[in-house]
Amino acid sequence: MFFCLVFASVSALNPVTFCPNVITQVAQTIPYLYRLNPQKPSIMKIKKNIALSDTGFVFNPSTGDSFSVNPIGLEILRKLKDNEPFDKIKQHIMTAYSTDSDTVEKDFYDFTKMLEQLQLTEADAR
Amino acid sequence: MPGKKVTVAVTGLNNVDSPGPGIPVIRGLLDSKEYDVRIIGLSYDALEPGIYMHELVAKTYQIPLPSAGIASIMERLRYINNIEKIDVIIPNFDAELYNFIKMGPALENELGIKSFLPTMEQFEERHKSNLPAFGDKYFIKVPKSKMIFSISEIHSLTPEFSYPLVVKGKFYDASVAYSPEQAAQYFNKISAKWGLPIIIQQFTYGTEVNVTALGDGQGNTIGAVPMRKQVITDKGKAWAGITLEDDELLNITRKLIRNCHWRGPCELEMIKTNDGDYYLIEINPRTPAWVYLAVGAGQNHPEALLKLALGEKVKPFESYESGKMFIRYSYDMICDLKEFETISTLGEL
Repeated sequence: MFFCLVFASVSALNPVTFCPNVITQVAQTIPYLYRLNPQKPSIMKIKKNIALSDTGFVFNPSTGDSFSVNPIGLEILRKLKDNEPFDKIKQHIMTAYSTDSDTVEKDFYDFTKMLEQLQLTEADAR
Repeated sequence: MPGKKVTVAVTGLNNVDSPGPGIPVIRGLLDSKEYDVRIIGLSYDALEPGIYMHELVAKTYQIPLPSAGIASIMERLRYINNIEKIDVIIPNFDAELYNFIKMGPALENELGIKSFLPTMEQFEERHKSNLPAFGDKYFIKVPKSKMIFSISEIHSLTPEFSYPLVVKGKFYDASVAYSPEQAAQYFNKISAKWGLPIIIQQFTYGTEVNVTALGDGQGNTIGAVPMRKQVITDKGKAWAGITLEDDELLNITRKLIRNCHWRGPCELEMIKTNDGDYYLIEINPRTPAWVYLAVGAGQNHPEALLKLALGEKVKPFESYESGKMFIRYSYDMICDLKEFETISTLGEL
């Protein structure tokens, strides 16, 4: 099953939709890298002040940025905010969406990298 | 419960696409629970929209332009005060502040009109042209900048500066130039409008964040609310914005106000770089036009300013709501020619 975490910047002027795993090359490369370095994706902490709504609206009060995330993305964000371990999140996604381990790991990696870039993680807290 | 009656004169009624702060300040004052405020508008142009907003402004008087000089403005204010008995005056334009700071003692002693403005020293030292020295004095990062008086100086800006750089007018206007040719073009455009010098500032990459703040002149920050512009007009003005939760920015603001004992309202314009550093690019020595966002977020700065002007003790605000937004809109008022005629010919409406 192919699933995609949509993370869109909310702006009336310039809506951007990120769908990281549409690039086949990346999709093929990342599992390969995992095989070379079978470290599990590290769990990052979502900033405490990030607001998540039931509709998938994400607001970062430090930067004023807001985004929308699809239901799977919201589920993962909530689990990350609750400090759930990666294995547990992976197991949940695999069961709930009938997908395989490689796909979840690859998409999870892309998704968390994106969270990092968007300054939604504690590592970026300044 | 009706509050204490007070008459406040306010300038900056030009609520246009590059708005003056007058109308947002008035809205804050009229929101006061403690005062029953009567607003007297002071205008420079017969087409300033605030003149015709009778639900906000009780009466408006034209006043002479700042270039007319202090004597001429004092004479006009004497006339207005005889009729209106003004308690407090809140000037809202950078260009008129020099006169109002100078006139402050005379306004209070002779006419009984109070104000709460920066000192002349504060006003002068935060000028765009003095910003690097200001940054050094108060330990705040400022992009490299210098004043130039002639277009011929543009070609000698490198290697001291690298492109892009910002070309700024002494009071208003700023444009980003990516080449000496563009810099020369902006030099001509801005100097024709605002005169010399022109300030050249190194462009800093990052996100612009602004703070509206109020200092009590003793080093205390009465209020401070940070905001990020969400929609920016072609004149660089915020058309929509959102309050931020940014402790570092608030600390910088409090530190600055504590160190320089800032008196009155101000707006800090900062750039937050991707590394998390903050650079001060400008201090406006007056309330910003987006101040009503602070009111909406829980800090009524215009009301606190009024209290400070009246000599009352003001408790610093402790919090505000982050994620509060403002969105401007344009609105066509329908006005009678008679009103335009009255303000144009008699200078009052």
